[in-house]
Amino acid sequence: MTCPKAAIRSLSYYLPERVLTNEELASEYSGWSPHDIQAKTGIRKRHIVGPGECASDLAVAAAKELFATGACTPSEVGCLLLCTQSPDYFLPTTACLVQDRLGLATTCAALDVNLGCSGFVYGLGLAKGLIETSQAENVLLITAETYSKHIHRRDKSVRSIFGDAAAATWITAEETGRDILGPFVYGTDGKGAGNLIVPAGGLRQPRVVDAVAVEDGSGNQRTVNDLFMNGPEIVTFTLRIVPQVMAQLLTKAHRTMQDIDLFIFHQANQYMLEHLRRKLNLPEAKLPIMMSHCGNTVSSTIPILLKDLQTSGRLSAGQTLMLLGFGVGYSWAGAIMEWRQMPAGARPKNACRVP
Amino acid sequence: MKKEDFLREIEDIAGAKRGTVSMENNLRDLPQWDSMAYVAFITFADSKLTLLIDPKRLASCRTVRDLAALAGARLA
Repeated sequence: MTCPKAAIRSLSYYLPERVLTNEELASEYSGWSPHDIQAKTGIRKRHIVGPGECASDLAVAAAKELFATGACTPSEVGCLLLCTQSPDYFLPTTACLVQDRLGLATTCAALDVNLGCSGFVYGLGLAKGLIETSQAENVLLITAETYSKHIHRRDKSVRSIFGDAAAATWITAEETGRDILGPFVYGTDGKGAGNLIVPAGGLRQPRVVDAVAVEDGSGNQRTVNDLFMNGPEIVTFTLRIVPQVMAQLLTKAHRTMQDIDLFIFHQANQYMLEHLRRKLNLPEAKLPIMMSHCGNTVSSTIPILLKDLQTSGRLSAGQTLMLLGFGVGYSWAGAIMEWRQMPAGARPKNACRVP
Repeated sequence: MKKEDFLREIEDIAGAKRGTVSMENNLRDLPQWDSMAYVAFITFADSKLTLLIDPKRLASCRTVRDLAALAGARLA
């Protein structure tokens, strides 16, 4: 018996035009050379939005890139999920702005998801739920982040790592007898909330006008309005949680490490990912790291990596992938999926239409 | 791990020249002992000492000897 099963059909992404290079960073921070920054972060450059550029602008640009491939059209979109932690407004929801700007039908469902590095995998899980319960025929999942707006100019610890970006992923139903996306594993530990946070600007602590910057022991400065990341705590959390989630996923999927063709992890930090690769005894090709051209783009790192792998010919239909996102919250999500992406413009022969 | 090897690791992490770091060094005096060095130390401890460092204890370290104390019996 066949039933609608969700599958990724196509991905596109957009990086804003302005580029922040290691040379520019090195010129601002004494004691750092471009080589040092590259060696410590694995990042050559990050793309940063301009002053008037917001998450919705990146989201619209990424979606237009997707439409331009011919994978889908605006009128087809039945549900828009938009993941961001840098929304244009408290309200209305950024997804509503994007629905209008993209010319999506008014019958299109649209909502925001406020998650960071786990957001893409969560989005896939939500899309699967909506499609496989026939609540949506398809889902346009957009991840869009402008963390640079949260970052103090004198905080090199985060300014050197994070970049702005958006990715658009087209997920549709396919009539088949087996799961294509999934199983999924989710997790949350709010005790880690204070380790990656923008303390002020919400309603708990409104944005502080003329906030005073405080310098930490590493010479980085930030105010309460800015992003704070406790790097050691985040890394320790990652080293603890990633092996656990991997084991849970493999058990749930009745698979072994050898069954996984590619481990697609959130591109948080090259140094840490290389360490994980060694710790898990995986060859370089199985746990790809491709973040030097855009940095850590939060919820967009996984779709950007998938797109870059596809472009470079390292993804092929039928491969089994393990996706893993982890970070701010703490929040994490993992999934095993089969790569079924169609060439640009192609439609699956057995794509189904939900009545 | 031998203490000499441990010191070489700290030199690599901190971008210090070979043979310039001792147990008595204050971390703040090392060339590149910054937020990323803490991250590098945690991954080093995890991979080469099979030790998951408590970040709060790491944050309280002031000298290389303090770091060595975190490694405890894993240093010969």
